[in-house]
Amino acid sequence: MSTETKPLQPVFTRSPKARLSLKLGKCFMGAGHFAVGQFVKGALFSIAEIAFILFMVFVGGGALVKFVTLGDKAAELVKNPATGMFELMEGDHSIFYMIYGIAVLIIAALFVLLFIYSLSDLKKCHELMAKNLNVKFTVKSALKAADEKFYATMLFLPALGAIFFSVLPLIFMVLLAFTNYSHPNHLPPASLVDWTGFSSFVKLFTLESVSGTFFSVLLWTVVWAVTTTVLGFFGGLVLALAIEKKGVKLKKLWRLVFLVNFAVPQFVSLLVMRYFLYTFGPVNNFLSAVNLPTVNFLSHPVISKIVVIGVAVWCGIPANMLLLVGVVNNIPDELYEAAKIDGANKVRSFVSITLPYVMFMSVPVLVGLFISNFNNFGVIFFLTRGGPALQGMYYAGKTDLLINWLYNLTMDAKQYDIASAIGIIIFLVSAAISLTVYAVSPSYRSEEQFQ
Amino acid sequence: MQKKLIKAPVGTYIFIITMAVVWSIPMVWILFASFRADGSLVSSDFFPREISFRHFISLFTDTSTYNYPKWVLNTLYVSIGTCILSTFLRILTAYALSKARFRGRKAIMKFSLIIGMFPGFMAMIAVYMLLSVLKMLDTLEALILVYSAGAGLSFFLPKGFFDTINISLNEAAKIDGAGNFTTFIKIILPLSKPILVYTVLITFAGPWMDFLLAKLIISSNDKFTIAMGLTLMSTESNINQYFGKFAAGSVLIAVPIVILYASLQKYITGGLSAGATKG
Repeated sequence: MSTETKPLQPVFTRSPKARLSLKLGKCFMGAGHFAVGQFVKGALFSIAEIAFILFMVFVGGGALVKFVTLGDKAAELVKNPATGMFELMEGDHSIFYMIYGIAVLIIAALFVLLFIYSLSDLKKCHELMAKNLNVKFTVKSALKAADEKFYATMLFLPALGAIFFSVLPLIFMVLLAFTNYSHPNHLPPASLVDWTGFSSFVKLFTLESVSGTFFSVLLWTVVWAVTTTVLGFFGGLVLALAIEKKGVKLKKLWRLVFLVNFAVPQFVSLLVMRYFLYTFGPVNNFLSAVNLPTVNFLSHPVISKIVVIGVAVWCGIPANMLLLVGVVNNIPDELYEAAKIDGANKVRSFVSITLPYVMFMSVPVLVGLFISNFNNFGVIFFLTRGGPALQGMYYAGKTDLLINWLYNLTMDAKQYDIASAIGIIIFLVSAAISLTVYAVSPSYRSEEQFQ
Repeated sequence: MQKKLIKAPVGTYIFIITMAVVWSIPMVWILFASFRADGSLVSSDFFPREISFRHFISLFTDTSTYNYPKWVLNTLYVSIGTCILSTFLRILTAYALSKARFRGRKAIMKFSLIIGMFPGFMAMIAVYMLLSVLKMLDTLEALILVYSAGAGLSFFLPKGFFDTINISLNEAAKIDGAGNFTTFIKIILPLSKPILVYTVLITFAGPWMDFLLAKLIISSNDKFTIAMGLTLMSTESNINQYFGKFAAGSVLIAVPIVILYASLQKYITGGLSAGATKG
């Protein structure tokens, strides 16, 4: 490479022209580009800035104001002078205002990112111009840039989808917890919703029937999540070890049996189990045929809890087994042979080799399993609908998890504010557990070593 | 030393067989139930006394209350759309995050993980409101959109797979003058068949199983998906009357999915374990 480019670079980027263009670029997107002769890029950036300004003036600003107030005019009946009849005059729809407000904020954030990008692009132009390289913006150069920064090009659409269909809804739900959006007094479009700070959380923890329900459901959810995860994971592990053991014939057949279970859509399996364990279903019929008492699998307060855990584990083991088959097969045989030479018996080699290796590999899987069990809506919903019901419980039954309670509160009770507060708490619990485990686990930290 | 033929202990076999039987019982039961002539839940025999196909037939002929064929078509439409869109978004995201190194990469990954920790149901209400604003409620297209839009966030398994493909492959391609997209399409993708098949399969099967979102968004009868329909058939009040039909309906949708999964078995275990073993 020639050395002639070196002395030129610092000279141009510190020249008055470059500094002026940077100053201009910081005030108005695209101005800086014009200053150094980049007309096409300058025009594109300027159009974006103008469009954004117009957007904010005509649409965005108003939306933000409405977002803060959540509307003042409630719907009311107004007498129509012409007909003499009362008509419903539409008021402000607080919830739509909230969504618009969030959308505007997201667009504003994206604009800020674009602005930052325009400045870094400007600086890059300066550097290239210092080297007297061609900085013309052509279709070809644009395609080349898109390829070089392929991650940006690839991530663009997924990011957009994720932002508008995952991030925006979540921000919305989180914000709902800080309002009083609920039945019966605060349901748009009939009535307004207001910001109420932390009162939903206060309600959760202190309001008589609600808080009692909250703590008992929370306790059950934690017990449930731990039990189903541990049983499901170790059940799957034991099964995987058994099937993959040397000398076992028909490995494919056994894997197939469980694959079938894994493949059947979960709600089908659950509904089938529901009938299977029904008061008049086959199991009970069999029991009465051999003169044993029938069992209320799904409606007895204690038995139903054991049964749902059992069914959840039954659903989970095949999937876990399939996941762990690969891990189990990857354990190097030399480790076992060395252990045998050292005189270790089967139990010892399991505890000292298999277990640590599998656990090391499966940390993210375990965490994911825990969280999905914590939020395992389907099993309870399809098996027991949360039943049996209990006096004094606020919209929750004895087997309802936090997530089922969320559903009931939303669909039946229409207490969206409390429901959102619960959702946030679920998130905080899941996040706390996962992040702790991840931070501690070596497999996350040594990600680079694997590559 | 003589090579010993390793035979697994009998105990292992007994264990495996017991587990296999336990797992198969409910499935076998519903299979039999779909052929049971009397179509009743409350019968005491395990094996049907009389075999009949009438439940299967009535699924397709008696569409007055429950239009099973329409459900199947609706769900098929949604799953094909979702499959294409989701796979596209998910694979791109996973590859970009796996191979590229850029500022904000770790932040994006952490952020996606965190988003995933919110209970899925929470977002659903918001999505309902969003769709209401966009006037897309009660459309199948909305289902496709919602299923797929967030697909990029579930990049974990495909990314794990791409991580196992050595980066030196990319570097070699670059030395040969290939651009990033060319490398991706011509070199990496052909090597990624297991995870591609796995992703396509999972995203295709997803809509067949989802009940919640569908119930939330769809309200007109003729747009029901199969999950909604079957659940409807199984409500308390309908239990006895429609049990036979329900059994037949369940078997009919479970069977193709099971066959799909079974025939692509090696891809599934490959995809699952490769993504998981990477950790």
